[in-house]
Amino acid sequence: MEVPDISTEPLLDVRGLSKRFPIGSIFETRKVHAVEDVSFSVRPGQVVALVGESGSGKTTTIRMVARLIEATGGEIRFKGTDILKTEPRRASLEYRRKVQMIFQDPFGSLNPVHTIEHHVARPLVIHNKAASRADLQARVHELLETVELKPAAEIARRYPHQLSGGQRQRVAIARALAVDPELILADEPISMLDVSIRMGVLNLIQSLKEGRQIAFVYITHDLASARYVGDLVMVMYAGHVVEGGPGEEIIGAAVHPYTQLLLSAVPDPHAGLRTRAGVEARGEVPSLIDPPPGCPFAARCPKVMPECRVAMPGVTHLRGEHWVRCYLYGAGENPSPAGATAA
Amino acid sequence: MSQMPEAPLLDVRGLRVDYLTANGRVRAVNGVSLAVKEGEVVGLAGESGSGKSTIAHAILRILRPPALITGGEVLFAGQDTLKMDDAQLEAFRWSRVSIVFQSAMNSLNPVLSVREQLVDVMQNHGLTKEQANRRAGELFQLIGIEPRRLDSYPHELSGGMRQRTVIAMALALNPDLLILDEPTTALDVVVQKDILLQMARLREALGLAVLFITHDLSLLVEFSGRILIMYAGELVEGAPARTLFDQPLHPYTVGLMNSFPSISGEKRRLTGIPGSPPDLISPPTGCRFHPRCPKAMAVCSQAAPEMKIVSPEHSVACHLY
Repeated sequence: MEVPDISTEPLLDVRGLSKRFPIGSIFETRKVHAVEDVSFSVRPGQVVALVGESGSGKTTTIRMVARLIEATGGEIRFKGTDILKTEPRRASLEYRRKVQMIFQDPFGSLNPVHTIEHHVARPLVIHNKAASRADLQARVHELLETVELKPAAEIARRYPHQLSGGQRQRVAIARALAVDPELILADEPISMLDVSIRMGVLNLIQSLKEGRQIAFVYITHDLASARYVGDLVMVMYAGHVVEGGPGEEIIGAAVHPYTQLLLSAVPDPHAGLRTRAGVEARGEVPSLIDPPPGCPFAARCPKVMPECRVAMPGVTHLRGEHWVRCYLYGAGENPSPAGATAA
Repeated sequence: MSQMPEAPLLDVRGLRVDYLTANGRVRAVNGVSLAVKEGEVVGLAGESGSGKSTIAHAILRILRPPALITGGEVLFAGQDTLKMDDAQLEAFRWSRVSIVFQSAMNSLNPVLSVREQLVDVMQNHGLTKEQANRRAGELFQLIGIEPRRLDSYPHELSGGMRQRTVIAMALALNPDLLILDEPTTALDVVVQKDILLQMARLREALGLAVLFITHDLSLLVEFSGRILIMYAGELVEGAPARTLFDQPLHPYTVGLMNSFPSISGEKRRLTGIPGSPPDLISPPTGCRFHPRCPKAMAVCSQAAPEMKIVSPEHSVACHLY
């Protein structure tokens, strides 16, 4: 859905992003192709869900966006400027304020010797967001209330071990909100939480998006939760984004054979006896060390064609915002850069 | 519970397990009764800390201090495993009941080939080396890995293959009951589906009974006959999988159903369950779920509800019924 009045310019526009990790000794030049030619954009107030199995490169992708690791190729455009060019060595304080990250493990991301108040106050101090001590405390309490941690004054005095996993994840969100971010990168924020409290965190993401126009990149291995919060869903496989589009479209009318395989594997009690279109893809995710050219799914794909093993296809636009990279739907535009075939 | 024509294979009655911690006694399992009939798949669902794994460990008597079984009986084919001595336990574990742990794939010894590890288990239980080797080949075929992979070391196999190897090990001595404790939680969905489908086929072929423990209710609806729901160390509801899914009665079960987004049907807002699971050192009085229950009444904080049979196969512990 278009966001009215705010420009439809994307907030974040990632183009051809790649990451190759060198491995082995100095005499070997083997590389792990963790992320290859990934492009997507996020508009203000939009939730983009990045779905993939472990090793698909989704975490590496947002860690590059968060500037925690360096990209080996491509562009990260934030509000129109390629920040890899303007801030090549490290991200500016301004960028780090606008782009915040939430991690998977709410047990590991909080310091056990500090109170919740300390955790939430810290970014406010670093970014000069409070005028006085009293103001600082008032803001901490306000933030805790925003993430529905009440009574805020009491929660603020506690230590991380005195909170449940869900409460800790809310503290992490409050800490991210402290600096008025425009984009929050959430890396599997619910996968370590108890099932009964997961929806609370997803609903919080939803309300922050609606109430504050904060954009999210939501990373998950779970298609159902991607559909639940994601305005757009992107599917990653072995370092490549293979299909993207509105959540309902991806779930209801997926066209890439890998997306179809993934969908057929999701337990779905609501479907009753109706079986999903059978997808007979065997085998497992290929090694990412100096992979052969072509589509990474070719080795497992039930519909593989000769051209699939030559080069990765470009982007074919289908209905509306739905697109796919698969030769079944044509060679696509902007065939992938030399990167995919060099090796 | 309901009267069965024949004695169930596994019959757990009023099981209680305590953990003795520095902060006090934690009653992890509080009077749980459950039965698994021959050839049946029973799903046990609950959140972390609900006591579901503790039950599995108690059945096999592999609990370690500070965990202590403080009451109840575990009858397996009529024999109380809680009264078995070490020699009896040796003969009982693995040959009658075996278990696959969560991320058991990481428990394989990295310096031995998987063949050596499989053969070792079988030799320990009285097979000759030749018999064990032959059986290892059969098991790999059964579980869907090429037998030539038997000579691989664990690091040469993918996570899915390692987990299959552990399942093969659990099946080595033809047990009557297999306990699966979150067997696929650490795996990707595509691999998970593959393994579970294979397990379903195997189970039918071997006539094995399965106690399937997981936090993922949607998996159980697909893969088990009957589902039992645990909350804070107690069973709160039990019913055939479909019935439980279509007509959950306990407010906690209803809440759990409301905690899983689906990939089909109308997209609707899900609320999950407010609050967090309780601290078992000082559990809530009365019904342990009452502080989070949207339908709590005055009685709920005073008296713990008894398990009631509401229809021949459906029982629930809630004051509403």
